[in-house]
Parts: sequence; structure tokens; C-alpha cells
Amino acid sequence: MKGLILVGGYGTRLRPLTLSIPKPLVEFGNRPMILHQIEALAAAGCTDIVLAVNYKPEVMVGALKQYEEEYGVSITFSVEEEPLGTAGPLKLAEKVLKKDDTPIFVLNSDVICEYPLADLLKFHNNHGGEATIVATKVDEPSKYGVIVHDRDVPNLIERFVEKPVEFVGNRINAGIYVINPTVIDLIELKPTSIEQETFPQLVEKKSLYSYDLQGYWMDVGQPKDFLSGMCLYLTALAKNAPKKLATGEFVNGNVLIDPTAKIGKGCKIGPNVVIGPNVVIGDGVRIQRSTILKESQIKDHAWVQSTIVGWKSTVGKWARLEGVTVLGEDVTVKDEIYVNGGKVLPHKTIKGNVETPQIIM
Amino acid sequence: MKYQRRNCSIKYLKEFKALGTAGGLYFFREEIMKGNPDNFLVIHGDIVCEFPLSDIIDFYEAKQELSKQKLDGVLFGIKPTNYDLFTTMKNTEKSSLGVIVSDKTTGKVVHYVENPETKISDVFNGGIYLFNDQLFKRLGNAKISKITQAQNSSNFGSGHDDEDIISMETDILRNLPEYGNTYVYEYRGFWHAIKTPADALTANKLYLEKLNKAGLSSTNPSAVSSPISSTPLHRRQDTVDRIILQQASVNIVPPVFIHPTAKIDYEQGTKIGPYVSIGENVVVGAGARITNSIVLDDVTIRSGALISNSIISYNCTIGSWARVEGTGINTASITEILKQAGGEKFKELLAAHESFKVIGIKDSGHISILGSGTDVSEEAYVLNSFILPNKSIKHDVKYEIVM
Repeated sequence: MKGLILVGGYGTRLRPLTLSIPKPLVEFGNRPMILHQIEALAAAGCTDIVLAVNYKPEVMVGALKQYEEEYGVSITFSVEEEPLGTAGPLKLAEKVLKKDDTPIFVLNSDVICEYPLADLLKFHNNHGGEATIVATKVDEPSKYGVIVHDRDVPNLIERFVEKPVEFVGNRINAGIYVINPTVIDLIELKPTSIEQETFPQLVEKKSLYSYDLQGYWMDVGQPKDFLSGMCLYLTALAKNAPKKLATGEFVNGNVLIDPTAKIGKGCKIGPNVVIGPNVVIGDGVRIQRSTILKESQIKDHAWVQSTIVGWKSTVGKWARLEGVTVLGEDVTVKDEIYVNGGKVLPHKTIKGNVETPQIIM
Repeated sequence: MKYQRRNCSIKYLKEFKALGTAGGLYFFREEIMKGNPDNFLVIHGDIVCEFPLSDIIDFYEAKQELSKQKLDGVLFGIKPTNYDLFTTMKNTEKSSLGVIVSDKTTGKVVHYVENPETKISDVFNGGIYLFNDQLFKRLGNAKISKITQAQNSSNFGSGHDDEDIISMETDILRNLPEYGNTYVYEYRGFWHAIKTPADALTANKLYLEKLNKAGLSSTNPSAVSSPISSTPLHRRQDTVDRIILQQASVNIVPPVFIHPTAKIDYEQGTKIGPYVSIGENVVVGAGARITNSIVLDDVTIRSGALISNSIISYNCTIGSWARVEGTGINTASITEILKQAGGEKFKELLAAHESFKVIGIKDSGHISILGSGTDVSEEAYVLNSFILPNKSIKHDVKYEIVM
């Protein structure tokens, strides 16, 4: 089995975090985002994993070397000279992906879900079509491309309707696919969209099926969704592996705390908080719906909500952060300061209140 | 009554209608002159300063001794350290500003003018006067001339002025130089008119600074005066409660006044000050932070709450991690601008920057005020807002007046 992870570019939507490290290495739930996918692929029996990237930072090469050994997989970078869209990278990595007849998993690196890949593969093999799209249900299908099924054959896709005005269904493409190597033959080596160019061909051939995703799904490519995704991830963790979550008098709801983090007296942490390695939380701190990345410090009586605190940052005493504030790496927020929706670039010091959402250079 | 111990009787004299800044004095002249005092002080109720009243009386008596005829009175003239800052700030308040010109050697008032467009003197009317019974003669004359004027103008069929309304500034002060026996007592200390709630915080700051400068920490409880009531009557023994400020510590950034009956939990790095006054029976929880604020009696502030640039009225409760904040006016930067560019530039800046004012709350400055009995829920945020009494604040409130 083989897997392709569509990583793409610089992850600009997740700035200022991605100014310091590539997006796949940004920790989600205390683990690099891409590790969630590598782990799922390895668990589903993949031995070869291709990362489709259009730049290849050294830091990523080093990190992935480590995962290769840890999960016993071979990871190759497929570097696009120009962005090839969502289908082009499959063609580019043809050599690896077509080395045998087994199906190929295609994952979008921004997507976070429970990755039921083994079950998906079973489903794929059973229907006999060339490809399977994982579908997720959404509340507002009018914002997405909606899947319409064949009336007679279960799960066979009849067509896609882009941003439907009238209700035609509530299942959308979740950005996770399993395809047979034959699908690569339909793709040319040029910028190509798998959704708009390749899949319609498979629909014509009545060879494209959809698989209903159970549980949560979220595109975590931007800070607001990163936090929403974190809530869903923690909820799933509470169900599937409750022992991983923190317990204690100060814990309120689902909270994930690295064992090396220190928590002060009289804190109230949660719901939906992730605290990274070597983070130091002072006394009387209140945190909700936030991720505190490693080696940061939250001082006494600070109040943090809907915020991502970047690595090695410091939040001062009695500071108040909210409104999807994102602190980049090594940011300092002085004592008693209020920040609402500030996107703070690395190494900055915030000395005055930030009342309205803005970028702080 | 709270002020009973201060050994002076307080009488409220209610004008039957608005009588202007001096009409009331004339109307109540018999009441004022009861006991035939040699002289009496008139003080505008909305000013704060060091009130050097004994010195004013001494000054009057010294001038009277040198003078052959009876003095008309003494005006309290303030000499601000920064003329530009003072005039521009006063202009933005849109209140009137009296300028006093006096003889350099004798201190005799030679000219008085309201709101001059040019700088003719840097001594301003500070709203305190020491008068004697001569004043009533002047007021009587002012009234008579008003009646005469009214009769003349009614001959032309136009509306006439109400002769009961007499203005201290235009009817009395402007005419005093003519009589040639009014003196100005020049004062260089702090002075501020309380026109808006934000001014109350300024006054709090000024008084605490003054007490602090006098070295009135808990180790030195001598020579204390009250920051709230006036200095006791002339040459009378000090009978006022002694106000003792807190000493600097890990928890206290002076100057801070905490009433002895208040209960402060200093655990978890509670930090109070500078410029904080805390009233009777106030309870402050562990890890709270209070700066530049007035906290009135019977208020409860729970653990980890932050209060900044705010006035918390009686009986309020502030929940844990709640934040009641005013962003204040950055006077340091205002002074900087003035230093660099002068008053004109500052005027432009004030006109251009609406942010100097709170939206919907005219001229209040950036502060928050909780009316009495306000209950701010745990974690709620009140920013630059006024909360009217007895409201429960459960959600964040920013730049609002909550009715």
C-alpha cells in the first residue's frame, strides 16, 4: 500500500505560525499535523508515503527521517517546480505510486479526522470501482461541492453540484481518496485538479464511489478552524482514548497536557485546551479553547480564550487574550495587556492593548 | 452623618431657581453673614486642588494691614506649569476660563477677562474667593444695573434678562479691578476641574500623589490631612481622620489608600496600585490586580479580577477573572506632543482623533464606571463603558452605556 499526502505550499493561511516552521510540522494536539496522517497511513498498511510539496525545507526532511524509522515507512518528497494542483502530484510521483497494483491513499494535509483507512480500503475493494471519495456531512452544503448519488447503485456518484442553490444533498468531498493506480493514467503532468478534471471522467465511467465518514472532520488550514478542529479532536480523544486526557481539580472538560508542562495553583483549564511540552502555567490562570505550543509561559492570572500561543512565547500577568489571537514564535505580551484577535508576528513584544483584530508586525 | 466628626456644621441652601454663579450668594446674604464674620470663603464645588485656605486668609490679612481702605477680596489665581497644555485641555472641555492680570509688585488685580483669545497673563481664576460684606454691596449694584437695563430694553419690546441671575465672572470679577482693592493669591500646585467622571480619577490620582509626597505612609502618621474633605477651618486644631497610605511592598505600588476595614487577600501575588483608593468593607480576593481606580464601600472583587482606570461604586461584585477596564488618556504622550509641537498642534490632534473620546460617552475620557450594585460575572469584560446601577453584566461590554 502507498499513500500520497498533498502538502502544497507555504501554509500562508496559518501564519504567523508558519513563518517559523512548515505547516506539516505545526503541532495539532501536541503532535505535528502530518504525523496524524503518517500514523494513519502506516496503520492501514502503507509502506511508501509520498509528500507532494512545492518547496522542501531542510527542517522537514530531518523531521520526516525520524518518522520513517519510527513507523517503518519509506517517505519520499515529490517536489513540484510549479504548483500542480491536486492531481498533478500523483503523476509526478508515478514511479513510486505505480510500483505495484495496490490502491493508493490520497490525503489532504489540512484535513483532520479519525482516518478510518482500513475500513475505507475494505469498502473500496468491495465496490470494484476505480476510486472512492470520502464524504462528510455538512450543515450548509450550499457552500461546497455536493455529491449526488446514483438512484439505483448504492454509493455510486452520479454527479457533483458546485455550491447548490437548491438542496441536492448534504455530503461533500472530505479531501481523502483511495484510487487504483489506473487512475494515474487519466492524469497529465501539468497543473490539474483531481476534483474538477479527473473525477468527472471517473463519473462518466461509473467508477467513482463515495464512502461516508464517521465522526469529525475539519480543514484546519487557518487559525479559526485550527481551534474548532482541536475541539473536535479532543472530543474524539475523550471517546477513544480518555486516558490521554488530563485529570485534576483544575481541569474542566477535555484537556490535553504534555507531562512535562507545569501548572500553577488555583488554575482553571478547559474545556478544549492543549498544552505542549515544557509549558509553564502560573497561578490562577484561566484557559479555554486554546492551544499553548511548547516552551511557552503563561503568567499568573492571565485569561486566555480562543487563542494559539506560539512556541517560546510569554503571556504576562493578568493579560487577556481572545478572539482567535495567534501569537507567533517568541512573542511577549506584557502584563495586564488585552489582545483581541491579534495575529502577532514572531519575536514581537506587545505593550499596548489590541482591541480589534489586526496583524501586528 | 459620615462627616459629623469633622466638627463643622454643614448647611444646604437651595436656590429657588437657578441664580447664576453669584445670584445665590446675594439671595442668601443674611444667612452667610450670620455671626458677622470678617470675611468668608467662596469655593466652587467642582474643583480639586491643595486648598491652601489658611494661606489665602493670611494673605488677605497681610494685604488688609497694608491697605488704607477695606479690601474687596482675594482671588485664588492658579499659575499652571504648562500654559499650552492647560489652555488646550480647558478648551476641549468647553468651559469658561478666567484670566487675571495683576500688578507684579503689589499683587493687586488690574484686569480680569473671560476666555481671551490671546495670552495676556498666565494666571487663571481657580474658583476660590475670599470676600467680605463688601461683596453684597457689589452684588446689589449688579442687580440694580440689571433691573435698569431690563427696563430700558423692555421699552424696545424685546425680552429682558432675569435680574435675579447674577454672574460672578461677568457681573463681579470683571468690575473688581475698577474698585482697585482686590488681590490675587498665586498658586502653583495641582488644580483640576471635575467636569466628567474621568476627572474624578484624575482628582484621586492628584490627592494620592500629594499625600504620598508628604510622606504619609504608615510609618509616619503625623501631619496628615484628609484627601476628601476640606482642610479644617482657619487655625483650628486638626480634628479630621488621619488618612494613612499603604507602604510599598510586593503587593502595593504606591500611592494606595486602603480603608482599615477592607479585607485584602495578598496571596497569589495580588497587586494594587498606583493611584488606588479602596473604601470601607471592601473585599479583594487573591491574585486580584487594581490600578488607577476608585473602589467605593462594600465592593467585592474576587480572585484574579483586574480593575484598571475605573470607578467601582458601592456594593458592586466583580467575579473571578473578570476585567473592568478603561484605557485612560495617555497624558504622558500628550505632554510629549506638546513639548514637540506646542498647543496648536495638540488642538488639531484632539480634533482629529476621535479615539481620545469614548464613543457615545461625551468627553468622559477612557474609563469604565460601574454604578452601585453592579454584578460583573466571572470572566466578563467591561471596557470603556458606563454601567447604570443594579445591573448584572454576564457578557462582555465594550464602549457601551448599559441602562
